Amino acid sequence: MLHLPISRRKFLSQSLTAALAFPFSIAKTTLPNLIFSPPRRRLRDLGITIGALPTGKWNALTDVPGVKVGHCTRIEGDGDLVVGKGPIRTGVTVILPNDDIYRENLTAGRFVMNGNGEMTGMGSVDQRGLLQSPIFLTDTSNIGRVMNGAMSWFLKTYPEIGDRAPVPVPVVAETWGGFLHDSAGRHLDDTHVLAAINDAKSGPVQEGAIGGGTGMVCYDFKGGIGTASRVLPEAQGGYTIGVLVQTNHGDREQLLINGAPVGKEISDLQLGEGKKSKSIVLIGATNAPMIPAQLQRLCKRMAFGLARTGALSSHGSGDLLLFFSTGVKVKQDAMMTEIEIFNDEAITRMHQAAIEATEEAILNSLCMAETTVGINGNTAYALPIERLPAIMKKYGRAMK
Amino acid sequence: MKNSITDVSGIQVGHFTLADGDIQTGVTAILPYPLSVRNRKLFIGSFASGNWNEWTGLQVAQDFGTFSSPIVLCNATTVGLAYDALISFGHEREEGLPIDNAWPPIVIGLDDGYLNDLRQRRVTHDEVLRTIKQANDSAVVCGSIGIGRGLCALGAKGGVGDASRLIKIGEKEYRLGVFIAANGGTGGRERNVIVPTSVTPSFVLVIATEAPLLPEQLRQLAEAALRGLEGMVNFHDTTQQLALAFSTSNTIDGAFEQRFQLFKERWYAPEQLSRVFAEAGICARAALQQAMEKAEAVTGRRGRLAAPLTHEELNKIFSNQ
Repeated sequence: MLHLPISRRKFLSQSLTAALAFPFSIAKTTLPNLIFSPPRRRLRDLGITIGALPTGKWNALTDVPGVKVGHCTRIEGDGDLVVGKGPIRTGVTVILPNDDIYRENLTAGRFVMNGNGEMTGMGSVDQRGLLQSPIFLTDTSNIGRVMNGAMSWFLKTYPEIGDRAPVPVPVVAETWGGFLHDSAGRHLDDTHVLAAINDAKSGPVQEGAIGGGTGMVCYDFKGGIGTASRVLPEAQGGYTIGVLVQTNHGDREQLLINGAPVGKEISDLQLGEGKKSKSIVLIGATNAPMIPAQLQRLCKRMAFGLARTGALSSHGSGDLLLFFSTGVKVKQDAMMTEIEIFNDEAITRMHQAAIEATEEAILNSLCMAETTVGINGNTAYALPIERLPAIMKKYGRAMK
Repeated sequence: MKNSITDVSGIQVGHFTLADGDIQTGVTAILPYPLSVRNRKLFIGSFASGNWNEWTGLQVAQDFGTFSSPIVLCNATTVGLAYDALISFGHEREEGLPIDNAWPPIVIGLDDGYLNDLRQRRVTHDEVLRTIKQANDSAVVCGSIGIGRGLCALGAKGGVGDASRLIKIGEKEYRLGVFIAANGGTGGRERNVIVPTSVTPSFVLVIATEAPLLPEQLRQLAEAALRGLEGMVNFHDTTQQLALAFSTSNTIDGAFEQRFQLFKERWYAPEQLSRVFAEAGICARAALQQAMEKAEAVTGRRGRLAAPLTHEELNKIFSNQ
């Protein structure tokens, strides 16, 4: 099995060089398409445009001012599963909604498209309509570990917690990574949670098999983290909507790209035997000032974006959605806060933005994820993006 | 009858208590069925009131109306650790953590920070796991034990309590039990004393019944139990209130073994259930009485003392029961 003491991302970006330098070792791996496939590219860079609205600068969740995203990724070991040892294919992705979310809460709303999953810390969202925690994404078995790591960060950052201020419940959401990862072994602790937080930044967001998305599988291809954004015209407020997803859902034949039945057109590169479990976590953000009821409505439109990629939200899928607004800030100790709120009469365009950004974010996760070999040699193949132009042409979809 | 939630067939409860200076806390685990039972889902309903009521596992519980996990109550900074222990528990039962075999975990965090130093997380993964595995069906020990160790309620030392009732629907007899973690509220004290209270006080009720109910009915049962405390406890001080109710009948067994199968369940007409709801309220009051009567004085963080209610105070609150 292939094993190199450098990060997978770095390795993959150098895969062609590596292939030339070590032709014999590469030839023995189970990653044939690694050598011949072109580098991963985002959907838009492939010439496929979703919807009509323009993107933000980075076409990412981080286009919403103040929002930061960080990852910590663990990819270690190859071969047979030995519980507690590996192979390890997991990580944590963190979204910092602002720089001080515990003391300066933001409005949030959630929606459950299909409940077979976990997103902790929803009591504050349900009862108060406020987000008071960073949002962490990881694999199912690591929920508790990441919650505890997040608690360590809370206690370190805010000395008032547990003394004269409420103990927050960290928002941690999951999808199942056990097809590729030693799930029972977990393999995350406080240090990884803190590493993800320290990695958080604005600007471009790394996508694919990274952070919480490391072990994920989507439409039976390699999935993971994807993101996209939309910007409304100045005349409509000029607000930004960003979406970040951790994709682990869907069956191959369901996959639609810009409406074209791509999944039906690609019958090879299948997953093979091994337990799979389907889920997707969708996180939206906007700087449009919105109350929780409006954000819940945007969550439902993210579900529409999910549907546009072909998903039917199967029973086993935890399809959980959360949307927050950086436009309404509520200080933790404020007696009263004067806020502005978005006009419902103009929200339809925001719906469109949420749908478009979600569809593109999901497809970006597929376009950017690299083929990944995990436990017992289980392989999730990258979506062969080089085949997309011919499929798009066949179904009359424009390419730029 | 033991006048305990463990009168409901299959229910087991375990406590773990940690009392050491500034650390006055614990864990209580309520098992909906014995560990020997596998691949079973039960119906659940919930009712919450107050600013934030945090419990994990609610996505499945609210969307499907089912659960299969032990219900673990711990202090607010231990929730992640307790969740992780339940993940270990789930993996021991079945590698894939299916939702009819202990996943997702239900963990409820309580703020016991008046008496307990929440900034020290001294409860361990293994202690939570042991609490689950040592749960049994003997009468639940009440008062300052388990998660009850550091709780304060009604202006005095609070704790955990439980009670049970035999209820009749038509000719059928079913048992119903209520477990309470009393942590907040006012109404108990007349003297001008320092009132021990945490930053985010909360009352948590767990209601178990053998009556075959469906999720919507269980939500009503949860609400009815909580409303039973009205007039006895004043929640106006922002105390959170969370009630989870589940039925040990109307089980869904072996859902993963055969996909295309039907499950036989019973559906009582709403008018048949009014007595059940009334009894849940009575049972909740009895459980609170147990919690307050059995609570022992605890000295904890920063030398703070929480003393139990006096006999006179207890009589005044509970004498009408």
